[in-house]
Amino acid sequence: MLIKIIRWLRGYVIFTVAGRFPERFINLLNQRGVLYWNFVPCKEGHRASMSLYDYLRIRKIAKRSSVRLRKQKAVGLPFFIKNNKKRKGIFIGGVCALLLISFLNQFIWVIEINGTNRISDVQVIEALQESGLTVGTYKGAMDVDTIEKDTILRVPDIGWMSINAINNIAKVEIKEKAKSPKISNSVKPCNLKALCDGVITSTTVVNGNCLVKRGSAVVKNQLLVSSVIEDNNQNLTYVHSEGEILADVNQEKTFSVNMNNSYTLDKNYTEKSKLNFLRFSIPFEMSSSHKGEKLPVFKQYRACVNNVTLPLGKTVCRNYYCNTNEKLNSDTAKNILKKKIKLQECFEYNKGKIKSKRINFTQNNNNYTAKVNYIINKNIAVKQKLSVRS
Amino acid sequence: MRKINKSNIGSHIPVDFMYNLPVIEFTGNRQVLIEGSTGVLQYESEVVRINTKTMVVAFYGRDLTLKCISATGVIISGFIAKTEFTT
Repeated sequence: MLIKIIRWLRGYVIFTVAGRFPERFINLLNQRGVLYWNFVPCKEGHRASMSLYDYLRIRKIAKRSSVRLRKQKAVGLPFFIKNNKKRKGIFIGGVCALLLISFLNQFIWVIEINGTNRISDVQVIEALQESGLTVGTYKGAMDVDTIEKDTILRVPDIGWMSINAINNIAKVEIKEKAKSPKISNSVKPCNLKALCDGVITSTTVVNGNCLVKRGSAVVKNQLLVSSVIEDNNQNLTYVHSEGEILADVNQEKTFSVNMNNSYTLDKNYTEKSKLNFLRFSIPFEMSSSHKGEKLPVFKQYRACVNNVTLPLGKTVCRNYYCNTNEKLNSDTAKNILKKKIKLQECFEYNKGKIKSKRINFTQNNNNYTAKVNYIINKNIAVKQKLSVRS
Repeated sequence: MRKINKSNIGSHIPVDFMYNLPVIEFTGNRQVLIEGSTGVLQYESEVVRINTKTMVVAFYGRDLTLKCISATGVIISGFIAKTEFTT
């Protein structure tokens, strides 16, 4: 590839060799040390490529070997310049492009964050922005050590970080702090009791005497793991019970929506767009004004060519409006309830595994209700300290 | 006095060096390298004839091209069907 570029920069000629002794022509070229390439047979005789400088010197050799040379094509930068001498705009444009590229190379175009697991990328980007690293930062004025120290102070979960400015990309490598394991300091004896009714699916007891087996049904407050351990000599010892008792638990949850209430509807919104270039943003689309409360949602798009993210992008701000006078219909209410159920599952039932789910929708006057019956597999063991009464 | 066997002397020296023979290296029937060439005698897509110090080597086939030529070596590529030595 490099050779091809050099050849193109120097300029070369593709020519045909026709005549009585093309072999003699090859031998003489070799003897004189003339560089040529792609010497292949063709209809006219043979075809070869040679630099312009050498082509002008081989007339004598061609005459000696009784061959006629005919130029077919001239390729390369010298010929391009010669052909486009009058088109000054091309050269001015080329110079401007080079200047623009060299100018833009002085700035950070993209920030890449690697190694985050618990910490969100947005949190790191915001901390970096406060520390002085953002898209459009001048590379020459970037103090990497200070930015790293400031960011670590701002995000306490970062254990170690390194910023490498490679070309226009700031690669941020992060190692999160390892969470210290919870060690129970309590050595006081305690039992494990059932938090709710259920059917045991598995038992993992670290310390204590397990009183239930897989498949047995338990009721609320039933003793699952006893702290009293009896040895062969009938000596009793009291331990701090620890373990995990998984059970299938029936749970019922009701969600309701008032049909008279106003809700944010996806259909009613206005959009406002901004063009981003490095750290500058230019608004190029204005939204019409709208009365009432609005809920803004931002979306950012970046221009990308051949997997290279450019410092050019677009930010779209979509404002959703609430319609206070409109009544909800049953479909919208159903969708809202479904979203509520999903949120509930994400945030409240995330510790257990949902085995089955049954939803019943009902409508009473102004309320739309969803009754959800879950079977959840979760840990039902809770610690209960031993008292004199127990 | 002990007699010197002349054939024993030759066994220690490479044959190509001793008799000025070309070194020909084939890569299947697709490429051939000839070391010790002195010039190209014939160059067509069906036949390439290479001169060496002691013999003329001809390669017959199709789509034969001279991939690389130097003062003492040639690389021919293409589909080689037959090789002929003329001494």
